[in-house]
Amino acid sequence: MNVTIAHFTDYTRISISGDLDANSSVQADEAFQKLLADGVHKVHIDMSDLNYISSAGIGVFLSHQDEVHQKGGLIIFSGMNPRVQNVFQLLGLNAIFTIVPDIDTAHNLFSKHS
Amino acid sequence: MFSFISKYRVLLFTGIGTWLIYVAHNFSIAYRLQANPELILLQEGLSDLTLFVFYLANILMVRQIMNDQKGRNPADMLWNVVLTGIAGAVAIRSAMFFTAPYEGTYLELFTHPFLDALRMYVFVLFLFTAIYTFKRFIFFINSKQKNTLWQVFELLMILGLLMVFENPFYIISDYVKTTLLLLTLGLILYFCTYIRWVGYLTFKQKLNTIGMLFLNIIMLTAFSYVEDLFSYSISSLIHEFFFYKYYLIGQAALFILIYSLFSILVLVFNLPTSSVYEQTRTDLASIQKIHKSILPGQAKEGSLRTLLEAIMLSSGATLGWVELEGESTPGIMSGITPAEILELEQSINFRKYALDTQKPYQIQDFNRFFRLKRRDSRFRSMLILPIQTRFADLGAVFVIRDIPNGFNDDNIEVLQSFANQAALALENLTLTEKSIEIERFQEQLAIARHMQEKLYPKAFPQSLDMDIYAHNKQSEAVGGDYYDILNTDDGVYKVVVGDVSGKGTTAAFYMAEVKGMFQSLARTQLAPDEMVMNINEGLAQCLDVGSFLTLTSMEINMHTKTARIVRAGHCPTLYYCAQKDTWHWLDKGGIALGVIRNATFSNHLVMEEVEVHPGDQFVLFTDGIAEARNDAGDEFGYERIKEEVIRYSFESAADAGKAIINCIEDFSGGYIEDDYTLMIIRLK
Repeated sequence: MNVTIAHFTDYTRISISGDLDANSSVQADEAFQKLLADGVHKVHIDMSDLNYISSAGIGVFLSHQDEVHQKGGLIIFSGMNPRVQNVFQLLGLNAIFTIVPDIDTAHNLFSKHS
Repeated sequence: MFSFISKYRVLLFTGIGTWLIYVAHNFSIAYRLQANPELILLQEGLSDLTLFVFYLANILMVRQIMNDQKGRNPADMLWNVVLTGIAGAVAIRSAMFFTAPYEGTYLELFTHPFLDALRMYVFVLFLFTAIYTFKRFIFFINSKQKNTLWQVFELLMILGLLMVFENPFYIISDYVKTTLLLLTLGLILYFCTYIRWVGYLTFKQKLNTIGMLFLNIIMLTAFSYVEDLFSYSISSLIHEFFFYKYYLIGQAALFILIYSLFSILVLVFNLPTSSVYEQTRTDLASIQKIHKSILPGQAKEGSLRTLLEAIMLSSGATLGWVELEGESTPGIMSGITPAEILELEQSINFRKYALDTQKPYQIQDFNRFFRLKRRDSRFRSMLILPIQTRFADLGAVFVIRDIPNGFNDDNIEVLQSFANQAALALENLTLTEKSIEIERFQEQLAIARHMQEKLYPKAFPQSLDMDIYAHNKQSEAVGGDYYDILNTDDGVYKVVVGDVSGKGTTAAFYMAEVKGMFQSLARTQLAPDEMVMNINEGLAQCLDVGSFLTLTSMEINMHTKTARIVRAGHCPTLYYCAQKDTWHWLDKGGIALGVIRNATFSNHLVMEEVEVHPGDQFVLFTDGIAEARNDAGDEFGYERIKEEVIRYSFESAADAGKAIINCIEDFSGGYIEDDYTLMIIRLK
């Protein structure tokens, strides 16, 4: 699992590739925490190279979602493959997460948001 | 067989008995000296026979007694021989003293044979006690070859014994006598190479043994005709000594003499090196001590003290102390105080050298290389031995001698092995403590598992309405899957199947909470969606941030013939409608518990309602089933679940359930990795 971070004017993008399972979610969690500590609260999670996500991986996003929300921030997910999408849907996470098909849509949304 | 005392009694009895017979017969000869020649021959023949019997009986008795004895210290055994000799010598000398007045009178005819016989008796006892004592030395280490050769030696002695029957009518040629003698000598010299027992004696024991051996040799001369010896020339002495009656005694005496002399030589030459062997034995004993000093429950201090003592004893060090990693002050000290150690450290930073190397470190002479603040004659050379295992540094031992170059390399190797032994033992102790702790934890885990087992329904409500099967398996000792079914009011069934995110103990705790809440809420009139809402509220506070829980809550009301179902983020339920003969997934809407922890949660809940009829089926499960993977990484998936359920739909719920689980296990390579639950409900 690899985590790449890219900073943009309005937001920061975390690109996650590979499998987000119990072990690798620790790494993702640390990256996310660091961003928040640095004061970023507009986060784009790019999942175009993400193969699989476990409940631990979902837990990472759930656990930071409150903090982001309180700071008036926003998390947008994009590029989910069908399997990951299915997981999110079954759990009903669409209710609290913004999920868009691709990177551009996400980018535009962030611009509008600020 | 015989006890010690009675053996000697028998020996005495046999010995004296046969000896008396011999003496009596010789008297009778002397008395009837003027009898005719044929009778004389016969009488001489009989005399030889009695002598033969006398020799044989006594030698056999001595042999028997000696062979039965248990092993003792060589010096002690030799002392036994010396005592026998002294007793014999005293007997001879007193006999000689008392018969002296009759020299030159006709009573000489009696006293001479008597003395002669007595001399032979004590000589035989002494010699053969000595021979069989020496046999024990030779047989210190046994071997088949040696055994055979000893038997040959005994055979040679038997041949020597047979020489007794030589008399004027048949002479045994000198050739035969000499050959036998040489053979005996050859064997004796061979046996002289077996002196390994010498190496096992301490210095003192060696000295003692030398003394005893000398005494033995002297005893040889005590009964011998010392006075007469000087009057014989060498050749006639030999001839006299190997005179037919004394041939066997000659053989025996030769053995004793040669083996004793040889052993004395070897002992004397081994005296200087005694200390080396003793040192090795002490060192070995020390290792044993250190090994035994670490027993479960023993304090570390005891074993470290044993280690320090062993090292100081072996190296001759006068001062020493032990320091353990992580402790600022030395734990064990001998002959030195912490203040002195500190002072020493300030003058010489030996610690720095010790830590740099992982091997023993020596400072050969304090005076030469460093300046001590104040010269202390006790501190001259120092050795530092690390106490370490392959994985950890446990500390070090410091010892000091009052002479320069006080430690030699050979000794240091041995000392390091002491330290290594102690290190292993200490590590062992730590590991034992840890494993006891782990065992306690495992006990607790087993209890947790046991408790959790109890939370699952023991039996399903036996009902005329439905056929129910449920099976659950956890991947670890405790898990996060949950299912329950309750028949609260005759005909109203409340069912729940749930799954906590994550595994293990945390998940199990949440699972227990859900059970509690379900059991209470199910006994109310609340609808499934209201129940789910309440559970969400109940969990909101205690669920970890990032943890969530999925479940399906269902109510089957046999009075109204309806089923209501809420899918809170859980796997969809497979439903068979008997009337229409269709299978479909009940997967409307839904959100997992813990995702939204406030009142807006209920906005996302969706409750489905269906009419139920006899023959309808519901299949509920957790994602462990749907996500079971085969070697290729494919998931079992909902489609396959549906296929299998349909395949077994005419079996009983239990048979179908078991078959389906088998099928999934086969798919995923023999066993399913995740926690999983499967529940089949068939309306009758």
